Amino acid sequence: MPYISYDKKEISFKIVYYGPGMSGKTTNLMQIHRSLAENLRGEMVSLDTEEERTLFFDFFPLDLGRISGYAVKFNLYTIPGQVYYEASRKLMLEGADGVVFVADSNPHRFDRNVSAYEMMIDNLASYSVDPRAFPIVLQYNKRDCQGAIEKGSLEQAISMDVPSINAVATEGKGVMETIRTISKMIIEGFEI
Amino acid sequence: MALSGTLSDLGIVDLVQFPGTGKKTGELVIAGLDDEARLFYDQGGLKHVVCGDHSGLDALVELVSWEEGEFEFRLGSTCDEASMEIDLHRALMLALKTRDERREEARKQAEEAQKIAMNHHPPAAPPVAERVTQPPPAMEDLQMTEILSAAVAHFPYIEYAAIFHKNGSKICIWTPETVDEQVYNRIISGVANVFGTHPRKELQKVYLTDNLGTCLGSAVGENYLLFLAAGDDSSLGVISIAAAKICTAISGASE
Repeated sequence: MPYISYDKKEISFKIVYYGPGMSGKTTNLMQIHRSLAENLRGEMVSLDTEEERTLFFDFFPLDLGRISGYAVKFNLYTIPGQVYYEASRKLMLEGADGVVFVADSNPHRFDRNVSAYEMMIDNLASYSVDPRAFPIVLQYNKRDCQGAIEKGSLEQAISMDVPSINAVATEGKGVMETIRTISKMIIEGFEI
Repeated sequence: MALSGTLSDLGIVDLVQFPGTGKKTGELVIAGLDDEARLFYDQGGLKHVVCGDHSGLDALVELVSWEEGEFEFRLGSTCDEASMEIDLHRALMLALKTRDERREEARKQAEEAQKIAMNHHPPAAPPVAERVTQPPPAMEDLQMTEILSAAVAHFPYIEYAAIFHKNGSKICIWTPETVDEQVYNRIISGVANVFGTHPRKELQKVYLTDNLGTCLGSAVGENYLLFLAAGDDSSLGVISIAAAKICTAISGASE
C-alpha cells in the first residue's frame, strides 16, 4: 500500500524483489542503486536478524514526476539468498505495491522458479491481494547461461500472463528496464 | 481487540492510513475537540466516513485538520453504509488538497478584509525613532523630488537619480536632461528584483558597471531604494560616497 507523508509531500510505494535463492535479486538491487544519482537515492540498508537479512533502499524516480504535487518515492526490498522461513517470505510481501519476480534461466532451476512463484501467489492471497490485478513483472535473469529456459515457459507452467523481461543482472542488462516497467505499472494502477 | 491512542502520538494522516497497510477490517473512532469521526475499513479499503454532519470525502476534508483528540480502532467492526468510492490514498490526497485550498482561500479573504479595513482606518504614524529606518509610505512625491534634487546637485557627475519602492514602483526621478527612460526603467526593475530575491534579504548595495558608466542601487530604510547612474569618468568610490550622502539626506529629511 502506498504511504503518504504530508509533511514531506511524498508518496511512497513498496516494490519487493522476490524469487528463488541465487536468482539475482540482490544483484538487481545493487545495480539499480549503483546507477542512480546520489541525490536521488537513499543508503543501501541491511537489516540483519538472527535468521535472515533484508536489503532495502529508497529512491526518487526522475521520469515519473509527481502525483498531485507529491513526489513519488519507491522503497525497494529483498531478502538475499535462499529464504528458509515462510514467515519472512510472507512478511516481506506485506503492504507491497508491486513485485519483481526474479527467475533463474538455468534449466536445472526451473522447478524452483515455479515453486517460489506459487508460494508468492499464496502469500499475496493471504493479504487479500488478487495476483491477477496486482503489478508483477517477471524477470528472466541469467540469460547468458547455457541452455537458458525459453521465454514464456514459466508463464505457461504457472498459467499466468505477466510482462516479462530478459536480463543479465551481473552485467546490468535488463535491470533498469525491469524497475521502470514495474514502477510504471504501479503508478498507472494508482492513478486510474 | 481495540487499539487506542491520541493524535499527539500518531498524526491524523498516518492514523487514517494505518488500517490500509495491514488490510484491516474495522472501525476507527476519533473523538476530536468538537466532533466525533468514524471511519469504516473493509480489508484495508476505506468504505465509509462520517464526521459531525459530514460524510464521505467532505468528512475526510474536515478530519485531516485535526491535531488533538483520541482514537480507537475496533477490529472486525463493520458497517453497511458506503460513502467512499475512491481508493483510501487518493481520497486522502484529495482531502488534503481540498483542505489546503480552503485554507489558502480563507487566508486571501482575511488579507483582503484587512486591506479594506486599513484603507478606511489608516494606521497611526509610527514613532519618530522607527521612521528613521523606515520612511512612512505616505511621504509626498513632490517633497521627495525636492530632497533628491537638492542632494544630487552636489554631485555633478550623476546623470540620473530615482527613488523607488522595493516592489519596483517609482516614487520620484531627477534628471538634468532628456534621457532614455525605458533603459533606466528596465535597469531599475532588474535592481528591484535583485533586492527582492536576495536570499538574506538584507542587501545594502548593488553596483552595475559597463564601459558607459556605473549604476548603483542602495537600500534606504526598509522600504525604499535609491538608484543612481553616473558616466564612465566617475569611479565606484566616488559614486558610493555620493549614494551614502544622498541616502542620509533622504533619511534625515523624513525624520
